[in-house]
Amino acid sequence: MMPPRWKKVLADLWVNKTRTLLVAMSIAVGVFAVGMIAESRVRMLRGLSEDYLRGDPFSGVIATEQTFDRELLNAIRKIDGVAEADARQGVTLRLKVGPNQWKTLNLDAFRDFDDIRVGKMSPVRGQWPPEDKTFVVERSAMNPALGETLAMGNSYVVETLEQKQRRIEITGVVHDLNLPPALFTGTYTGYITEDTLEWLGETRGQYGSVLFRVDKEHYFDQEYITVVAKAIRDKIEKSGIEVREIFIPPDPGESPVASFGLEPIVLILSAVGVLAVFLSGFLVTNTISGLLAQQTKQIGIMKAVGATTKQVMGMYFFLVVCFGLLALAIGAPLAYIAAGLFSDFFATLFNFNAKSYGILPEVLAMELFVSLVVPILGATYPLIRGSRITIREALASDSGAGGYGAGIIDRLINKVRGLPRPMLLSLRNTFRRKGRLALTMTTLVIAGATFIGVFCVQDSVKLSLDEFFQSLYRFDVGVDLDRKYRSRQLIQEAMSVPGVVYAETWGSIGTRRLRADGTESETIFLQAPPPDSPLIGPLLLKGRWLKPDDENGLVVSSGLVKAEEDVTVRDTITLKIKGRESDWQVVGVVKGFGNEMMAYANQPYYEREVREAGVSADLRIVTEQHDAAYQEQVQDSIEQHFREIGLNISSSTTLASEYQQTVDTFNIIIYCLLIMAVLTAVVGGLGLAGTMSMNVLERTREIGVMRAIGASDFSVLQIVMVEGIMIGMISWALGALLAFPLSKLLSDSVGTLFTGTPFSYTYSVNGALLWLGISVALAALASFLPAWNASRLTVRDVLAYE
Amino acid sequence: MSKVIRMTGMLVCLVLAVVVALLSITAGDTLYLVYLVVASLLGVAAGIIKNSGKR
Repeated sequence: MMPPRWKKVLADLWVNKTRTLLVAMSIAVGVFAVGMIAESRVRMLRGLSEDYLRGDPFSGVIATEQTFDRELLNAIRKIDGVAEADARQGVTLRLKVGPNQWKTLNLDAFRDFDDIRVGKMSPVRGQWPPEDKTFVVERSAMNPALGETLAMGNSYVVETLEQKQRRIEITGVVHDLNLPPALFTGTYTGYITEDTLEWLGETRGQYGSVLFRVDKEHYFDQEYITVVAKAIRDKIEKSGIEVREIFIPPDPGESPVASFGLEPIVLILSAVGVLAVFLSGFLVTNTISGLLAQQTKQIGIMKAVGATTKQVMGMYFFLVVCFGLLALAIGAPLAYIAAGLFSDFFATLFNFNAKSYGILPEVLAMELFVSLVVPILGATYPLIRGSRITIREALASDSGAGGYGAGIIDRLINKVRGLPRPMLLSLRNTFRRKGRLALTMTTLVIAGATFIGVFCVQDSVKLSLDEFFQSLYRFDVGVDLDRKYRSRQLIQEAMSVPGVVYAETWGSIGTRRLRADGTESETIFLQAPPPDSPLIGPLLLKGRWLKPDDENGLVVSSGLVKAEEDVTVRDTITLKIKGRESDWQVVGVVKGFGNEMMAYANQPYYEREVREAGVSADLRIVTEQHDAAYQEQVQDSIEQHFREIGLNISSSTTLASEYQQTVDTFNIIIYCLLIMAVLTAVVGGLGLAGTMSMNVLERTREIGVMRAIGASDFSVLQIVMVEGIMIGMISWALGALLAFPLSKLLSDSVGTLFTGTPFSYTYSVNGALLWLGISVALAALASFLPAWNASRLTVRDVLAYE
Repeated sequence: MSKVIRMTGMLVCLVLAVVVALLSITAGDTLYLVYLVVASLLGVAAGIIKNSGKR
């Protein structure tokens, strides 16, 4: 037969099911947060890293101005430090995805698909390698989020830069982890044979870039890779070919998918996981402390009938373990399912395969720790105190409804007049247990501040993008041509298109800074607008903007100054343009977006330096109206007109589409942050539900008295729910205030993580109003069940209640 | 324990938890689990401090 004390424990669990569920849910929230985040980290980062390294990724890419042949490639392969190198030849086409809808398609051609030595791709379905006059597509182009539907087996029209059109079939799908996903670049990638390349009008064997990798010991050593890249550059330049750009990934050995955005997201989530566990530990300890405080009298009675301290402690530890096991049973499977959904969601967005490793021992160990060890630790101190209490103290104790009336807040509340009596009662009840109120509010306030903070980040991203686009992208349609044409002709032809009110051409070229010690910087994009161009109005941080009579004046972006720390206004710096060195005087620093290394020069002087007078491949157009539909309409007209007169467009864009694509990229981060805000809100909501439940339990006798003097079910329900909603509203006000510093910190961190510099900060009033609605709804929901229980108490129940 | 001491103790725990959260950003898989343990212990500590001095 079961000893009576264990019967009491089971009865405690069973009779008060709402309380049991609330305590278990408080613990389960921590289990869920830990399980989901730790599991997702492993599924996403470990799986991605393993797949990426298996494909022999490149350590660097060197692009050349002129093409080179296999002889130079073989010479590069022999350079010390180069483990393997491959040359790539590609063709950029326009792919018709709908009526008047074109996408940029890069097709890489291979001589032998069995001899790809660097940056291997893995077949997903269909043919591999591709047959002639067909191509296999990189699978991120098929992401449903892109809107267009490419399908294997379908033929598509492609157009070369020379406006030759071909129909080409997609016969297979591959996965290439060396590329950033099409969702973020807007460019599709495919793979073809050299015969197909010739069919598309290119000459085989003329390479434009070399991909190299170093030995596996130095995969992650950026310094070593830079030295090897420079040796390759020297070799290329000695053969008389100019190097256009050297690209070494910011995190060598890590997939661009990870560096591009996944890792920062996982890192932010990891930090949130740590805070969620802290809050859960706090909530659990408080809930169990409150629970034990309620049982003090029962402890006294048990002791009076002969229970020892050890037996009492054993009983309550067992109770806590039961709560923990229940929480584990709720939280762990949910965490596993959520981690799967969460990683699959990001895997689809970032184009990688999230891997399941089954039940991970380390994750299970953490879940056991949070579900069992944390509640036991939290319960130990109050249990020791509670079980050592003497019978007299225990029986004399009163875990009642708390004192009211003495404090400043209480006196202020007493002065409130004009409210209905039940409302006044709710208001006073709210402040009866100030410690418990503070605890409930802590989680709700943090949840509110996080939620509003996420919206502040979203608004700050928009503000930064608005500033960026309004200062540097003051055109409606941008057109890149396949080669340089006479600027005057381009402008005249653009102006002849209906809807165009202004057009100008810009010069642009990739350069590198030659430092005093002889080393070279990363690629700097030098742009040359016409003097007094109305299409640029940058935000000046230092110095001044270009004057029409500036000869070698140069305005640089904040990203350039950050990377080249010694560059300041009035400095003279040397740029290497087309292999020639020229001196420029820095006259100003403008705010750029993130770490982009940009420089601006006057067009006449720029044209002299690059020795290309009056020609351009970069046309910028202002349209009569500025909405997205009109911009697209004019873009189509320009493309059609230019095609008719033989001006070959390599790509064109509208301001609206560029803006939307950038906003969409950041929205992914916002969704991720929202998940963490919701997680905190769940913790806060559970905390509130627990508080309200305890309040009702403690006030059982009061409720009985109210009912005895005629209070209806509705009045009791109203009193409890209004108290909950009041807590929700106070927490909203405090959360909205805390959101100021928190959102600034969050906005700065996200900006720095993703773009290298903090975003321009703005507070989100819409976010604050939305949270007001949610917190009131959450408070109403959290207090409904305790309120319902209270309204169903009968006078008889109450008189029997101890 | 006075209210001021309790409040200070809880704040110290919260600040330490924020520090641990920031440190966890650069942590590897194993170290991350250690940080989770530390954070949950800080939560327990904050809870105990808050409830100390009560019956």
